[in-house]
Amino acid sequence: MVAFKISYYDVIELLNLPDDISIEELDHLFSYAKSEIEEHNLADEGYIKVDCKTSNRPDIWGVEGLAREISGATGLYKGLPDLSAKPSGYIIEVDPLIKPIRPYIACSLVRSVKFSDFLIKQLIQLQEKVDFSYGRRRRRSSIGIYNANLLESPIFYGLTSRSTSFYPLGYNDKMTLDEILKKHEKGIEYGHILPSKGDLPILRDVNGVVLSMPPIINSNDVGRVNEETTDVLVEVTGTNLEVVKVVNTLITQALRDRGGKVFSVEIRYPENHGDAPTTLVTPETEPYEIEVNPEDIKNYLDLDLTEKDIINLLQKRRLDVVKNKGSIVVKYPPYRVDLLHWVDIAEETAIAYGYMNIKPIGTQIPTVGRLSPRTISENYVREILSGCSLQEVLSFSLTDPEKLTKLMGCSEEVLSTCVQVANPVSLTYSVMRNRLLPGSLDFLSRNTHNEYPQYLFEVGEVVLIQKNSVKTVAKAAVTLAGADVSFEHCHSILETLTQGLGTTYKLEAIESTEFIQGRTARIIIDGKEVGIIGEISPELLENWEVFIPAAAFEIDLSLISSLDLPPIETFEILE
Amino acid sequence: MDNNSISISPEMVDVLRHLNASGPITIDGLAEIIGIPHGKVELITSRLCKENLAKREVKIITRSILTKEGKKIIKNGLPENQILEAIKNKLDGIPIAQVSSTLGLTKQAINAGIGKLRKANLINVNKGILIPVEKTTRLNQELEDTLKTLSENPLSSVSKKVLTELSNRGFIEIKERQQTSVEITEFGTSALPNIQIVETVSRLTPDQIRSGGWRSLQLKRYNIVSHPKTIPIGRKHPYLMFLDEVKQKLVGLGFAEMRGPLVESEFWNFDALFQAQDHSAREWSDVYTIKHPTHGTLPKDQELIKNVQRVHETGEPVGSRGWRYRWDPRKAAQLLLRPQGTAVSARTLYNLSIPAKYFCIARCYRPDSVDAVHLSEFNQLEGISCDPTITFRTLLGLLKTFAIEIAGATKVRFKPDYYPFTSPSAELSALHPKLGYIEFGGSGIFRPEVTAPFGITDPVIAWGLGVDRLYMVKRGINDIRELFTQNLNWLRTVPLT
Repeated sequence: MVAFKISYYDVIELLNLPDDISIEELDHLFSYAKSEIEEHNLADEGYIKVDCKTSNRPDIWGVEGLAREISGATGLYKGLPDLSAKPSGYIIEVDPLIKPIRPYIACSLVRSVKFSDFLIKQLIQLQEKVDFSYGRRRRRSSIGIYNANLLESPIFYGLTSRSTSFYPLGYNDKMTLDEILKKHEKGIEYGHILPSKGDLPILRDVNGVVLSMPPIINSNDVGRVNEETTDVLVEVTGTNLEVVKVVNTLITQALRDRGGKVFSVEIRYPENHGDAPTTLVTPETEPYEIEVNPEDIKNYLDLDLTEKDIINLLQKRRLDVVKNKGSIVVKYPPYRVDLLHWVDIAEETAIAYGYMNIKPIGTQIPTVGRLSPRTISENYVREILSGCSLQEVLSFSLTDPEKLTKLMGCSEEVLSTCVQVANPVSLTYSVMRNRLLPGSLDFLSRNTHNEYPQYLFEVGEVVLIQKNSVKTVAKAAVTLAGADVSFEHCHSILETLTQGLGTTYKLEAIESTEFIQGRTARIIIDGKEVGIIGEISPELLENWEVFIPAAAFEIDLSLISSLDLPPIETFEILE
Repeated sequence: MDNNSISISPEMVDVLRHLNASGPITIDGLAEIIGIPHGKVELITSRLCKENLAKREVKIITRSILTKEGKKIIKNGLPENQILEAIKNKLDGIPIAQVSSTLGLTKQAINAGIGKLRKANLINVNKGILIPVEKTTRLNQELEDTLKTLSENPLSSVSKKVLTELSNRGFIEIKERQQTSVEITEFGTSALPNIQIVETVSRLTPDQIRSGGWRSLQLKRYNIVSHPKTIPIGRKHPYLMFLDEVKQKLVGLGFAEMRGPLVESEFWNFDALFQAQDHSAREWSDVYTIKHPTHGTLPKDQELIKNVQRVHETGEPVGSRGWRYRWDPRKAAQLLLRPQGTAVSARTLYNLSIPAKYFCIARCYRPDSVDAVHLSEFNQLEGISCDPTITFRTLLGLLKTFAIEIAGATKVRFKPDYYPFTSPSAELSALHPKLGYIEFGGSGIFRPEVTAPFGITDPVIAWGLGVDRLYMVKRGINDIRELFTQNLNWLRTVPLT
């Protein structure tokens, strides 16, 4: 999902729509571009916030692309948009040394654009959205736009010493590349993309004028577009040639939609420079093609369409279609990176046809429905325990390490058998539970103001690291709290449960810091230790601030052979 | 039993007889005579009153209890009289301070006394000197006498005016209480000889039923309209019950349930679903990765891995453009907390026997800050449907069935949607009577790049429904954290309907 702001009035102008079109009608039109209106306030300069649902359509993350996509549905245009570009005569020379750092660049020149403050802001927004999401936070690709009248061809893209200096955007003082990485907010934000030692990327014209330090920051003069600017150089650098070309083409196309005249730039790559040919002309002007049998589309969608219908519908999607023998060849703009296979052409056909015009039908093929044996087994346990007058609770499975260690009176070592999140958002949800009891005690601690007795159970999955594997295991925990709660009470629930599950158990007295001495036992079923039962030690109750007697047991349901709950899919550890 | 006779319990007869003998009497008195507790006497007499055999009268009893001050006065007299005594015959007068210290009275009491004496013209006060006026007579003799009487019997009847003054001056405390007295009525007296004794009981015993003894019993009438306490039952969690109902509906629609692990490999979660390895959804900001172990093993079926690699790299064998990069098996082996239920569907594609309809309610994890609209873990309802007759129209038909059967909606809306692993994709909204169209699910036909590596050539519908959302709408919950509520009282009492 990518969200961006546009103006109601701008959309109306771009699409030549009636002045009084409602937000609902507009929202419907946006659905043709897999987008919807998330917020709007027309009183605020026609403010509309659009949410685009597709991560594979960077071309429609701005109003120009969005309008272009919809213009087929409104009938304003049809078929492929203009992709042509005359040579500008500009050349970019690529330094072989840039190859290991940021090998690729694509570039175009757009003249005669009438930049307004609004248009510049829209362009910057598109640039930021594409850099962030499709460009993977500028790592994979990043866009630079320059005032073409302040620079001269040929332009050098290569490495330079860290002590090279220029005026970075927003600063009136010269800074060295090193200083930019350390002090400039963009340098701090994106510096990690570049190597920490050695020379750094630079884009410089024939006279030594610095355009930018890709992918960090433009220069403060050439790299600044304002309302007086008319001609711009659009450049994209990155680590993936195809992505770099796509991004260059889509930005260029947005400027073309704003009245710009597009000219191509010749990129001269060294020999053996990754995927790059020695001469590359960008932007891409040739459409890509997918060949498809119209019958396949017809059958896939189950719509009664002739070849002609399909061609018409695809033209409404701003695609060109050429008839072939027994098939059609669909031509699409190079920035349509989402089109991979003829099924995507089928989807384009369905979108143009209108989803609401398609009549749903039911399937006639009978199948047998059933619950998973795991669910059935868990339900047996839930049935018996709720029948014992215990309230079922539901806890988060991601928890706070403190709840598994300190509050349970355990050392941190316990965590080595737990799955810990490497990138937690908050410590509160940073470790996967390996047992249910802490969650139940947490529940008790939050209900000390409520009526006692409080009898709880939870049946839930935990994750264990055992030997060489990671296992998802179902457990059940019973927790009783109240003035009259005792081991015996808890024990009788265990008795009832095991009886109901058609199994028998044995208790063996043990000692545990979590339970009261002489009132603690391990639970043995089928000859295996499956859990523990006891009266909770006052020390633990104090930790959890539960000032009332409590008793509990917890069992590993995967070890009970009368249930069908084996550990799910283990992953052997491979590191 | 003739019409004139009355049947009452033995206890009632006993009390009635005592009343007949004693004449009007307080409940306390009666309790003492009969030797049963006050409360029980009250209960029985109230029943006698209902039968019109006795009548009750409630009186307010006033008791006047002497305060500490009041008790002193009985010994020493009222302050005014004490002062009079002290200045008797001292015609030159005595300073107030001296009187005060001699008598050991509070300043308040002295001032009150002086006030009374001046009012009665028995003294003059000049620059702090008290001067007797004429022959002294004790003041307020009545107050002193009454106090004495009350000290002997707090129930003594005294004039209201005196009582009020004593109370105002803080010498007594007036306590009121109700006293119920009871006496036999004329009807009671006349009925007494004819009364029949019948055993009334509140509880039937098995013995009484077996022996036929119940025939001579009268079962006490209960007050059946008052609200009793609720029973401390154990209930299943309301949200899990809702999920149970959803599962039941899906089973009814012919779907079999699938389950999968909470810790998942990228292979099943992304690679098998044709998501390129540098897809933005695979970044650390979108999935929870694991500290240890960071990687697991890939599936043992080498053929499957080769197929997945090939379709990513070249798009073959299905004529797709593919992703055109080098697929890295190590990236695929990385472990995650399952971010989407579709991982379980992907596992099910392996060795899928067709036709197939599956569903799964999967706990999923995303690195979101927890707030009213986000949880770091939530449930996804996902599934697949595969048979040779499937088309885009059957997909819409399936979604419509879900909206009707699961969301209880009558109207649906479809919109183009996007999932990395389906094409075409459709969004499902269902019409809610109050909230309008609610986005309720998404679906699509698995891309051939997804199904081909598993050797599946028939179309597979992949679908997902927002169960959490549906439950929140049903319960009127606005804060998603409430799904995992720890409010015991709510869990115990929330209506399930």
